[in-house]
Amino acid sequence: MAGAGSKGEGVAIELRGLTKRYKGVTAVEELSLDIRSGQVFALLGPNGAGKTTIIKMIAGLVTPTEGTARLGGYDIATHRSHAVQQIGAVLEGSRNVYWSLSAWQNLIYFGRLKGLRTSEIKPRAERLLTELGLWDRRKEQVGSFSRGMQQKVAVAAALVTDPQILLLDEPTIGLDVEASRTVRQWVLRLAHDEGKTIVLTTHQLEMAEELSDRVAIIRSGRIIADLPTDDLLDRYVEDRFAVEVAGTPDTLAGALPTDLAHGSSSSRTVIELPTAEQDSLHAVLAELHAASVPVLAVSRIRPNLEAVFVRLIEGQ
Amino acid sequence: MAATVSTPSVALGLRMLGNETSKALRVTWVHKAPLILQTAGMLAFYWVIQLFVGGGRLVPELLAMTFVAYLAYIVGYITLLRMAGDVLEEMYTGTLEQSLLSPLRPWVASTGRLVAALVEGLLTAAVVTAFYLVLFLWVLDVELAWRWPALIPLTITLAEIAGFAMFIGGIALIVNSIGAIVHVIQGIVMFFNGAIIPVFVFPTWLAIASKILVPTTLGMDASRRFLTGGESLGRMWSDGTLPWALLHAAAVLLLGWTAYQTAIRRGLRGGRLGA
Repeated sequence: MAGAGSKGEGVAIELRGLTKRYKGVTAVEELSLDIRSGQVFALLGPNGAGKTTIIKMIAGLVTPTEGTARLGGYDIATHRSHAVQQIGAVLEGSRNVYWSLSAWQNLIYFGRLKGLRTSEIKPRAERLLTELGLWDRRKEQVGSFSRGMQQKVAVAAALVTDPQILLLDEPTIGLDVEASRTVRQWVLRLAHDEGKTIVLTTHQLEMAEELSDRVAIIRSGRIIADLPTDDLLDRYVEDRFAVEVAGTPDTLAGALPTDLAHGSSSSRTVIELPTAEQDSLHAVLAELHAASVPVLAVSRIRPNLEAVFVRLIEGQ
Repeated sequence: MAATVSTPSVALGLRMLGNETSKALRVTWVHKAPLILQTAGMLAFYWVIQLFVGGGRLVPELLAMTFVAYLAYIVGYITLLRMAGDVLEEMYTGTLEQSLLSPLRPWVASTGRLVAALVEGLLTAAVVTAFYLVLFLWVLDVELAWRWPALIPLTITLAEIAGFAMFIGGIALIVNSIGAIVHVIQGIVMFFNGAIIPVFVFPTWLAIASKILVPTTLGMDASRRFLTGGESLGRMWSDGTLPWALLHAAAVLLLGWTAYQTAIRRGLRGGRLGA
């Protein structure tokens, strides 16, 4: 194991045997993970699965019963002061910031809380508030903001010290569509352009699929799947085919097999076959050929993350 | 840009203590209206109590002997209430957990809140003092002989309040119904620290018990003896009053610090410090 402050091969977060028991009830059991720098890691699970406990153990806000968490090589238990400087966190169910203070005052406070000088914080705070569209309202009390704006201030406060690791526990909960999109764009930018490591929990599986490089699904405190997002979806690829053709159902009226499910985008239509039998596929392709419908692609049907999640949680 | 990883130092600690204090004072200032009501209540309360004790009139001798203890009660009342209230509010809103993501130990942030609470208490006490000084000197002819060495027992009293407030802050992390406990404690302090009647009129056993168990009583009794009893600090040092008061304050400070640290550790183990 690396010494204090030493970094493994691009590993931002190392969890080893992390276990938490509350009065005999096991919330998290024997969790071991390495999360690489610049990775968006989604931690998914039903309510009570242990997601928030894991996030808080990583942040040092819950003491594990057993095991260790290292951030940037620093053990959160033994080198806390160094480890916490690696983190920015937006925690679930919390205001995270002071509603009595203005957005500006909050950012200055949270920057100083991590030991930065005001002169270091001001340019960062200005950039963050400008990019989040809050600059003109920086002097107003956060309590007077909409829920989405309050969450933006919480995200800005987590980022004001420019931490390498961002812990986002349900960051878009309660946000409207636009605010949620802003947060999602930020997550992608922070990870892919600035190399931040992001641990994300959410019940919005579409968002997790969009943002994450890697997904871990947790049930009753245990990880039941932990794979790069694409690999996870590929693993559950279905045993049936999808045929993609040019044109929309309107323009292809009469040419498409009527008994098959199909979806469409602006210029393409996807026909889903109920089985993976070669004969069925050939029959459909022949039918399309006869109708002179251009075939763009034939592929196995890949489920979305929600479908995989449901299958895993239900133990299929 | 990379995160700055700095090792905590005394200078950093002081800077962050100032950060915490200024934040707490800003939050207090936002809620000014309750402060004004609180100050008005403190002004009226002493008057009513002393009218009650004096059988319908204000007794100048009694006022001189109890007023400083009442000021200590004000500072204690506000500091304890603010500490317990702030800790609970920050737990429920999640900012307590955010404050723990600091390179410094949790008690530093708590000390910042404590300093802000003491400032609020002292400012309230200053307003009450100004009002009653005018009343005492120009209307009631109360003799208050201020001497600067009185700052010694008064500082000891403040240290004791600080330690006890830290203790209450620690309890607030564990016991949700801390509000009721704080009000009971505040009542006990007011009745037994000499704010209503001086401690020397208590039965001996009650005076001893008050000095041992009730925060601020020792310091306030020493202040009264110095300011209105004509006793010197040297004499109170040699008869053991001041050393005992110092020891008592140090013990309460240690108790408060230990209780807060223990409560934080317990909260982290139980995952109970957040919303």
